[in-house]
Amino acid sequence: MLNVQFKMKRIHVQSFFFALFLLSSTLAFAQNKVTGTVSDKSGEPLIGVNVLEKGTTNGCITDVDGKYSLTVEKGKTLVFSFIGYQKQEVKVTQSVVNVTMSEDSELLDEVVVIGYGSVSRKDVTSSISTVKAKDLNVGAYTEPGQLLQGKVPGLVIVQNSDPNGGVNSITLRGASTLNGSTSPLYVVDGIPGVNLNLISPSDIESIDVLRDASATAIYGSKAANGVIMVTTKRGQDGPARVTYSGYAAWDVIHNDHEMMSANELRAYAKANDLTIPNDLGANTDWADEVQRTGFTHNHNLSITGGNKSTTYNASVNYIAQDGIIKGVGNNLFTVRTYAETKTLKDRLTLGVGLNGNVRNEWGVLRNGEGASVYNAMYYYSPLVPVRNEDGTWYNDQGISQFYNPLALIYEDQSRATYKRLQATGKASLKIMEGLSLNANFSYENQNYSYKSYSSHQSQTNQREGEASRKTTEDIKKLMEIYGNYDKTFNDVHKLSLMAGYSWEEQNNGDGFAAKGYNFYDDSLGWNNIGMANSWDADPVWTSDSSGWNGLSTIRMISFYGRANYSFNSKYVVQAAVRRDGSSTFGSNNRWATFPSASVAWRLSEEDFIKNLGIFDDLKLHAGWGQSGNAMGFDIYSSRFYYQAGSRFTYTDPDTGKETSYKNLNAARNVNPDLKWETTTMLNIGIDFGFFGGRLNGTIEYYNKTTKDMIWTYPVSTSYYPVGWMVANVGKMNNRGVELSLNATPVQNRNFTWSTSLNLSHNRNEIVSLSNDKYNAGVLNRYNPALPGASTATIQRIIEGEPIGTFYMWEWAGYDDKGVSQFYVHDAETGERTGETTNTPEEKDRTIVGNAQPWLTMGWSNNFSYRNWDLNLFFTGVFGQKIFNEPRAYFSNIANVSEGKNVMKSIATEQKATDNLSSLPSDRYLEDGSYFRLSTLTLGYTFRNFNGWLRDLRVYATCNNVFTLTGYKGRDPEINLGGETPGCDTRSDHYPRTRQFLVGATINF
Amino acid sequence: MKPYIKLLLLLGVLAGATSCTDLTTDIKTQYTTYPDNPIAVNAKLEACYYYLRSEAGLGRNYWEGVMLQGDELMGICFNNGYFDNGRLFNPSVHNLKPDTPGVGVMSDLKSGISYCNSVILEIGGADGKDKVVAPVRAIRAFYHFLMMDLYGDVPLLDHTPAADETIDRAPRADVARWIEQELKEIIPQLTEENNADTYGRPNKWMAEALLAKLYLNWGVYTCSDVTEVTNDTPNEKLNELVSVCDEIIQSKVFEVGTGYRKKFFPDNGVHIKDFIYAMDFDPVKVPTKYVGGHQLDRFMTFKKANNCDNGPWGFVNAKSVAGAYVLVPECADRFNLPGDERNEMILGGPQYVFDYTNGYAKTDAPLMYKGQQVNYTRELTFMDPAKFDVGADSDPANIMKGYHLGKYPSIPEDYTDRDRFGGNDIPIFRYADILLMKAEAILRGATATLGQTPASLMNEVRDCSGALHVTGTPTLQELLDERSREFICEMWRRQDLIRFGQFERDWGYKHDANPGAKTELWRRVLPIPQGEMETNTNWKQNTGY
Repeated sequence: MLNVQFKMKRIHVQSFFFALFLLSSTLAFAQNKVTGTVSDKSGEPLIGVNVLEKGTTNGCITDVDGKYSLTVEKGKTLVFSFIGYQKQEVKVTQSVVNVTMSEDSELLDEVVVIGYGSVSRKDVTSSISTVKAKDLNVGAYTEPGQLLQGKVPGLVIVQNSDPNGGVNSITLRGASTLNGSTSPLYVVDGIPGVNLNLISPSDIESIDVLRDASATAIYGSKAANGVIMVTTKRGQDGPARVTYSGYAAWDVIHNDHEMMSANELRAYAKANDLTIPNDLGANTDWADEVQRTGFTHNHNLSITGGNKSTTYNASVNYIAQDGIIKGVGNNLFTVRTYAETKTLKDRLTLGVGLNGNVRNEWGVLRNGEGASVYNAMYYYSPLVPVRNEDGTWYNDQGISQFYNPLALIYEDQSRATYKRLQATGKASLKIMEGLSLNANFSYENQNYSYKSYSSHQSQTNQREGEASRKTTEDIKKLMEIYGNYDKTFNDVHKLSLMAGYSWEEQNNGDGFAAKGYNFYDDSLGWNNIGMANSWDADPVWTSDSSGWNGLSTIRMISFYGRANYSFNSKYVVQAAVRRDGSSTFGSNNRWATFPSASVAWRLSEEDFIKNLGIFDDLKLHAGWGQSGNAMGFDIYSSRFYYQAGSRFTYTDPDTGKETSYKNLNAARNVNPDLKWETTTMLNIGIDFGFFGGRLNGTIEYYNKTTKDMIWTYPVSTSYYPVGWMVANVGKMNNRGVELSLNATPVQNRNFTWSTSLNLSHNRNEIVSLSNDKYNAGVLNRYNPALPGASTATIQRIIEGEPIGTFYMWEWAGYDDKGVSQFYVHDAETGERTGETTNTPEEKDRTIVGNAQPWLTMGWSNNFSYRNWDLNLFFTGVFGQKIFNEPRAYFSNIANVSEGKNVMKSIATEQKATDNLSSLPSDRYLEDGSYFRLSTLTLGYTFRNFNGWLRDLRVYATCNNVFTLTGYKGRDPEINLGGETPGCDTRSDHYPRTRQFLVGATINF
Repeated sequence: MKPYIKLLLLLGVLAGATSCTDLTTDIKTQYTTYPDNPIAVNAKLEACYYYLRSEAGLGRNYWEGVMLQGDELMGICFNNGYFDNGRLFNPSVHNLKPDTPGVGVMSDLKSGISYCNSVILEIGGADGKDKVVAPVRAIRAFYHFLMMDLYGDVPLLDHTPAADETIDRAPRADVARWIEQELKEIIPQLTEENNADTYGRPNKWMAEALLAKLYLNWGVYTCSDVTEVTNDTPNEKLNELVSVCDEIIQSKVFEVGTGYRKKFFPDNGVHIKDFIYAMDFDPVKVPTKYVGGHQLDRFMTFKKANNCDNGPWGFVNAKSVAGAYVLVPECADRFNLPGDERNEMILGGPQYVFDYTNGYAKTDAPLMYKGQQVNYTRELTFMDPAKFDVGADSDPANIMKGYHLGKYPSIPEDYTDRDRFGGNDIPIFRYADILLMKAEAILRGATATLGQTPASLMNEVRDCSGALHVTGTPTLQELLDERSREFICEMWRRQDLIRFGQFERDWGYKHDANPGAKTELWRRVLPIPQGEMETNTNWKQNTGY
């Protein structure tokens, strides 16, 4: 069948070419006939190459043997062009002109987006990676971070299988902040800070990642975590193109915890003389009750087209996802439109865009202290039934932190809805040759509403039905105006200048929240909170513990400029500066300047390198720059205000009437010097290319130092009413080496193998945290709240060590009673004394490892054979430690006698006498290195499908195919960002899934 | 393009660029200046008084760090559950460390003082001595008193320090003398009213009761070395103690009343005439966790109260409880007076349900757990004595080890609506304490006044709970034992034991677990909390820690 279609296709192509050939022949008369063969580098003839006499419409197309024939005068120039190959011009000097075309896959002429402009790849002086749409990860993804995992050296992305979870962490070249906002700045079609949820992966054309500060400094105070530039698909000159793409995906849990079955638990208790308090004779597999096969389907329809002056594109996307945990899912409907036209004799380009989406999310409880479905589905006893005989959920409130996971799913429900709208306007005026003035406008509006209801049957809430709602609106306005001047003098001096101004205002969090409880029954759910019979003293509020304070207005104003000079693309110099002002920071420090400079030397243009005949490309580049981090702050961060405290009763002296009033307390200590964190980075790199572009790559070294790190410092309450102050004190360093290689080891007419590998090594170090004014003290972090150790933390932030340093007790095996013992450390020296103890103390904790990987890698392999394509994408992270909190908790033997379940492994790996098995120690600190076949995709493309379709590609993908790891937990891909990386938490950790996906893309 | 269009565009850009550098944005959702409203001024003062109504303040951490050090309650754990790095165990065996949560109250005390100083400065006039701030000065003196009592030498924060001012710890005696001077200065300025409006706020009587407490322990506070304090350490303020007590007694504002237990029920409040100053908890009006309510009953009740057929107070607790505080056996023994209502708080032997709907009256319904009557044993046997670990709570025998205290009973809503937060007000200064302080002063050599004797004063206190009268002159030990019965779980026991030179006495299982507690007299003051040492780098840690 396939063969037949393949032949049919060929016949169609041939007849089409023949017709064109006839057409072009009639245009040519009484002139010299030129013939020849066009082939690629491997000698294979190229079919369908456009051959055109320069400056005319006289042309033809090569036939199935790559041959062409055209009548053209000698001395004229022929232009050969073909999609995917470099354009080539040849002067006609004889009657046979054979041409070898080279592929433009890693082309030096590729245009790289750099912010307020673009440059050709060969003139790039800093470290920028470009990922094309075809190379993005395939899966049921909704976030760009998911699409990029493993694709860019230095960009470490940790995924989450939760359909509402996106990515767990994204860090570029190590964390440059302690304040938790390690996310890069996203710039979509030139507009910085756009809400990424407005883009469907199918709408993305390419993504450029600006990795070093000499590139990111143009975005100043927002760019310290790197900049990711997303370019969406745009309409092109030509007839309308309609593309449908869609997929369906199924998710199953990958490598679940092995908990005891009812019989195993009974047998274990019996064998070890443990009393089970709640054996009701049931045999329930809770994981099975809670989990299901996840299902996702996504549909995208896009229309693009245009003519010489006007282009347009529009797309709609619908995705619905059901997670593998019952009650978890979402749906998302997105529309994108954009139209652009040229007026004023093509001098003025105007564009308007309108994007919008609606997203609904269903979630389940994932709180601490046992009230999390993700925790309860393991700890809940297999000896009790799901439901009582009367149909209600089985409930045992007598056991501490013990909730029926199905009751958590069905009796404590919540839904979040996001409605987003973005309108953009673009104008570009060509004032004279090389000089243009551009303006971008963007208006974004996001409405968020959240509803939750705990029913009368809720096991976490005994308030006879409690409804809460929250709604907020965020509005963001942005205007940027910049001018570009690009001119080449004497063919070799290329000069680009850019200067601009931007103004941005965000009004975030405008809204309120309300809660009422005690309903007659559950029939109203969250729909009519006004029917609640009981209310708290404050039933309506406009601030919460997450930092939300209601409407917060932030304004940012910037001036920026850049100059780029290239001498014959051999010596390139670039310098940029940005001056940023933000209303967020202290009154003394609102403005800052972020400079950068970089140089590149393309050695391959030098004769002494050219003569070697080895390098196709060899470029040295070095850059230095500064950028800032102002993310995660709002106007409430640095200013004084009063917050409502507890209430008091005021008695009116005249009437004696008592009224309850709120106290007003100073919310914070004001730091008028609060400013952004500044990250300085030095970047040195070598780009190289061999074998006619078949192998190329880059090696880069960077050294990045963040100073003035923002941190909440404890301050003496002798001086201040509040015991903490936000200040700029600390310093952190990241150093690393990155290697990326792209190769095409095999390329011939039918079969191609291209592969790309990236490896990155980063070393993170907290250089300092304290100065003479602020003393950070002992920074214990992450308390896994393990039984018997509810105050014990497992990490510490220590000067000279990386973020994520595990600071724990050291397990010393069992004592003679079969109880865990731990090494004693000397309080003064911190060294082991040689003794062991059952009651380890703070002083017995020590550094036992850290969560920072030594090496991260991504390795992609693309095979294409005729119309088949196969992609294998491997990812790997090596050298990091993970704290296996589930193993510490679910191995706690006391759980058996408390009425909870335990892991199967405790029967063989733990001693039943060990009542200290759950104490956090290095016993549960494991090597988290892994190597994973992350994606396997097989596709087939039908071309010119019976004339109805341009092409149709069908493909099947499996994500998370296999993982090689020594980690004993479910999955070693654990959060690597924020303050406490490397902790495999038990309460809110959605299980990793394996995904099977089938999809199709049809171009009509 | 026409030149004027270009010009216009350029001008527009320039105008935009130069005028749009305005970064002024407003906070629109919070008060950035204090509201000019008389009730708001009242609120400012209110905030001074309730600074300690929090978990760290006078909540859980305080009981753990202070109450558990006395010979009344001890913290146990269940197969390591609730051990939590010695959070309860360390204070129970006098082995506190700078990072034990129970010692952390210092930061809140200082924070409260700093806030008071700012309020005094703002509304107290130039020298901060206006009458309107007298209650703020009183509470500031109280915060200093607590801090000095717990930690020994502490900073004397009588003003808002300049940013570059070095703050050292002042000698304990200086702080005591400063508190005395402050109180004497403000007592005439404070209101004598005692009503709903002054409840939980400093009035004249609160300041005088504080002064009495200061005088009671004057010998301890002014002794240059805390390890040298004995029962015989001289106290030069005994007569002044009597006279300040007399002022309160003669005011007739307070009385011990009749009926002891009801003073501590959830509905206690201003109507308890015995309360001179109390921490006013109300988790309904103040729903903030750990602020409006406290969890004393959660820690003191039966470990499986929520699994009983009918709970200890006549309802089944809707949430699990901790049950980790049990009575030191010798403490239970002291409740031995015939007819004494206070004995009913001591829950030992076979247990019966108390009825919360009927004044917590004891019923004849046995408290049933898993088909057996809950039966507390006086002695505790430990699975691991080095941790006070009684063994897994799945074994009913383990959770019946030790007598319990039923002083601050709860109501069902504390568990259904409020995550185990109770609203029983916790008294700080009581009239009964005034009487017993006066009795102690006379026993220690002060001149008796108003025809009152140590015996008559003690009997007045006993009359409230119907206990048999003392005959003849009580001994100091008898007085101390009376204090133990009367003020159990009111956070004064540690102080009393130190004053009587009995803090290092052997009780319960303390010395078995920590033999050093016998001789380490420096443990009479707490260690400076870790966080304070970190933010006050010029301070030296207390001796021994």
